[in-house]
Amino acid sequence: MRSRRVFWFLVSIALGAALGLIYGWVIHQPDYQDAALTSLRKDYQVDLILMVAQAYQEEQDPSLALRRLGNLQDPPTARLVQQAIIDAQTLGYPRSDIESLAQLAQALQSYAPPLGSQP
Amino acid sequence: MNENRSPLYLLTGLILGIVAGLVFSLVISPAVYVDTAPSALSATDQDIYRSLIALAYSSDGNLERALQRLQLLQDADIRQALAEQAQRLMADPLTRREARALAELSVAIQQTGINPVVNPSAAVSPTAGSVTPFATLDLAAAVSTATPVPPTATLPPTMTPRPTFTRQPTLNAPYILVNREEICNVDVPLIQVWVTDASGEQMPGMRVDIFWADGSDFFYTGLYPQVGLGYADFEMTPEVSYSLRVGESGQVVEDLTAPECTDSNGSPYWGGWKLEFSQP
Repeated sequence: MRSRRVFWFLVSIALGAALGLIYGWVIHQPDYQDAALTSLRKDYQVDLILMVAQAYQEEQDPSLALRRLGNLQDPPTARLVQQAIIDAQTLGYPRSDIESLAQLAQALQSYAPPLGSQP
Repeated sequence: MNENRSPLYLLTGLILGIVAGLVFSLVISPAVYVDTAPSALSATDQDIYRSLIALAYSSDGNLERALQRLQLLQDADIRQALAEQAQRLMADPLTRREARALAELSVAIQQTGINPVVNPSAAVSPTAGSVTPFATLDLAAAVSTATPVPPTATLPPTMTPRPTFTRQPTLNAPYILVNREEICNVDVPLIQVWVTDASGEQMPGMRVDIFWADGSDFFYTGLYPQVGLGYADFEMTPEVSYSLRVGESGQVVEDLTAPECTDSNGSPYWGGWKLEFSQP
């Protein structure tokens, strides 16, 4: 009889936990209009990094580009741009865009002090 | 005897489970949106996204692509959103470049006569989960709207940018003062600047330098497209004398001090100046 009570006790805990999880993950979801840049879908992120690269083309300021990339990765690294190049190629971006990204990646790699210490 | 025991232990278990579930789902591992669209970003991050669009446009001049990107944000009025953000950023010297890029993009869109329509289908519903974002990257599911490639662009022909529509200020063109007028119908002591070219067309994106005894600043026309593409203003500090110049070699207007006006009750208040510049 005791084991039966223990069984139902555990079942009730499991049921309660399920209800709690459903509330937290399904009913009480975070605000849909309050997402961060880091939550953007990968192709949007690639486009965002491309925009940073295009801005860099005109500004030629690696520190400014790094600050902008910091919205996607903290701390930002040249690897983020390198991965964007790979993804952009997969997504079929035109060659000019790939070159813009490549120039930014190269600039960030040579911008050694803050980036060299990154893993 | 045991059969008649209270089932209170079941309620206890249920409550314990609910508490544990809530703690886990709300505190330990709360739901995080992944794979969201730009329209789902917070207002702050949408501003960052919009600024980058403008800076990219400033670099490549591709208005069609800028429009495609802007439509992802699903602003009700794209031009207005750009202009408002430009006005906000103008206040900070560190973001003036972004402000100018935003203003130029707003003006470029306005000059093409395009009225961008937000495409709700561009929005992508996020998926909530407790996993780390980007853990399930599926590039095959990528949408082309975020990765516009010129040959596959599907905007209607009316959205084709016309580079000649974007009036570019000529830095060396001398702008001279054609009208200087004291104004009293203002809430704050403003210097209102209107800039037109030789044909009388309003000129956006013109740099206006302003100097006073112990400082200087600059601002641009076109940040208030709702007022005028060639309009800009600057708030004066009362009893400070300013000098102002439009463009690099324009005429310098001096002795601009907030004039004292009087309201209907005879109470004094600070007025402003309306300055109209044009090319000869």
